[in-house]
Amino acid sequence: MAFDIERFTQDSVRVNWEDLDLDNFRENPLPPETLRTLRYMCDVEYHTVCYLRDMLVTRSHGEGEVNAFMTMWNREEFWHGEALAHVLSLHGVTVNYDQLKDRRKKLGWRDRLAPVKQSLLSNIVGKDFVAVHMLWGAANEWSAAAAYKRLGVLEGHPSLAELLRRIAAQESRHVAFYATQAKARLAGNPKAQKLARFALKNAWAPVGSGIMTDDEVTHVMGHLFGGTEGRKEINAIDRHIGRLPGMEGLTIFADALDARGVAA
Amino acid sequence: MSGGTRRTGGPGRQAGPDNRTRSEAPETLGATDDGAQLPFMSDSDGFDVRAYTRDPRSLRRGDFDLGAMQGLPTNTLLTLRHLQQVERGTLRLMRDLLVTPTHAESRVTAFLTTWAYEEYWIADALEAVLEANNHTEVAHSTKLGRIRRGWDDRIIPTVDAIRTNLLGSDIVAGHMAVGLLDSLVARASYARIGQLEPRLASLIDPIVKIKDRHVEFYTDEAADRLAASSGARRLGQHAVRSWRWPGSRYGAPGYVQPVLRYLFADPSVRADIDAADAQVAALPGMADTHPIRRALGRFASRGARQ
Repeated sequence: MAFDIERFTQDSVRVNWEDLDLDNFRENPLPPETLRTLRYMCDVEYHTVCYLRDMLVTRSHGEGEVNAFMTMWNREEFWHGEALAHVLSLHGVTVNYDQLKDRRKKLGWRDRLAPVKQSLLSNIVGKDFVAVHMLWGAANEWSAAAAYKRLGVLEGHPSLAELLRRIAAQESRHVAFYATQAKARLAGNPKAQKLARFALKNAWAPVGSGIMTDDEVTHVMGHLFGGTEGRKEINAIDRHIGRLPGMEGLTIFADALDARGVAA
Repeated sequence: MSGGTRRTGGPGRQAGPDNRTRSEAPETLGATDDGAQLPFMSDSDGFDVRAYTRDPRSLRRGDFDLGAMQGLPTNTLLTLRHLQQVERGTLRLMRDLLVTPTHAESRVTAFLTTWAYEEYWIADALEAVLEANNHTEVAHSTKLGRIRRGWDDRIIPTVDAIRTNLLGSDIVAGHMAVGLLDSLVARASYARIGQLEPRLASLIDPIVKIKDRHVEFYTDEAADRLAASSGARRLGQHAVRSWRWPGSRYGAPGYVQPVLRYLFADPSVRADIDAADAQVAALPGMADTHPIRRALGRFASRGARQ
């Protein structure tokens, strides 16, 4: 699987929703559990710039295509946050700069020291740390794409489904980048494979875990991936990860659901 | 930070929208970046970050007359390369801001997200001109520069993450003042190369407009934040004193010095430099600072010694 960075940058646009009929939410609002999930997704998307920070302090950034990708990725994710904030605003839920600032400040020293941890690990581990980042990114983007698609199906609202489809389409391109990078860096490198496998098995948690409360993470996991159909999606992500060099048999997503008591 | 004291208007507001169509996109992602009303993100009365984020200027290779830019003289190409390398360093600058309390300032990070996108396309446009002139030379780091880069990449983000977070949000004022300085000298550099080489007009004019908006944002942010506390002013003064000419930290002085001489040696440019310095001096606590002229003076004296 190749990734055409030139095409990706050329095609990178902010997600649009102005052509979608979302105003009917005013008469037919989404249910509270969906709004709760959308709020989670919105906050996580806006937090991307902090994830970017944590990558920029490691050797994962470079001069070439990684930098190009990160620039576009960061902007596209920011606009996912804006799009979801728009849907929330139609339900009387306001998300503004001041709220985002407060939320980031409340994360405290754990968040402020995140780049220190990443930088130290990167300096200690060296180049193989980049493989972990790329694999981590692939896992998170796979789950994001699946989450948006799943919410579109669950809700059945045509305009929301279309918006979520557009967002998921961008997430899928992000998957392609991360997975291509991870595959290339893991292939033929048993040390990187061992390290990445260890990191995923022991340190990985569903995206948003570090910034949202446990209750919120459990709600979103249960809402989107509970039941037979949800578990099918989750197993598919685990299979994607398992196909990467050295990751055979990993079931981090299914394990995360089990740990949170989300029934299949 | 979002009080009602911010100024409105500014030179960037007149620039045109990024209204290209992207019909070649593999999926239909919706309409174009058309700046429709987005009612949810509150913003203050000053620089309109929301409007800026949804109306970026991404300078694409088809937007300027590359055919008119063949056969450029060497000093022009060296200068374009210098500017291109500075633009390519945007993510490093972003990293240095994001490890500090600035990362929590969602208004600033929304700006930075869009700013990095615009800078990316400026660098790409400059690369196109350099390619069209078969100019492949890049400024390599000196031995000292490589040590500095290793230090800046591996050590400084860690040290700064701890140091600046202990200092608190006053540090943001200094970052905004330095952002203003970087943008002012970038704008001055592009404007000057446009004067010196009129064939570059279709490339340089839009870049100057892009830089105008960056200057407007940083001026607004720096002014408000410096006015907020004496601690912010003290940190801001330190940041301005420590400011270095963009792109001069890793390469040999012998590389940057001719670029600056080409751009700014002519006495007729002095008024522009003084005007840029005056924009910094107008900020709270920055009276009588002449950081740009001082930085140029350092290069001039270094050149005289060589």
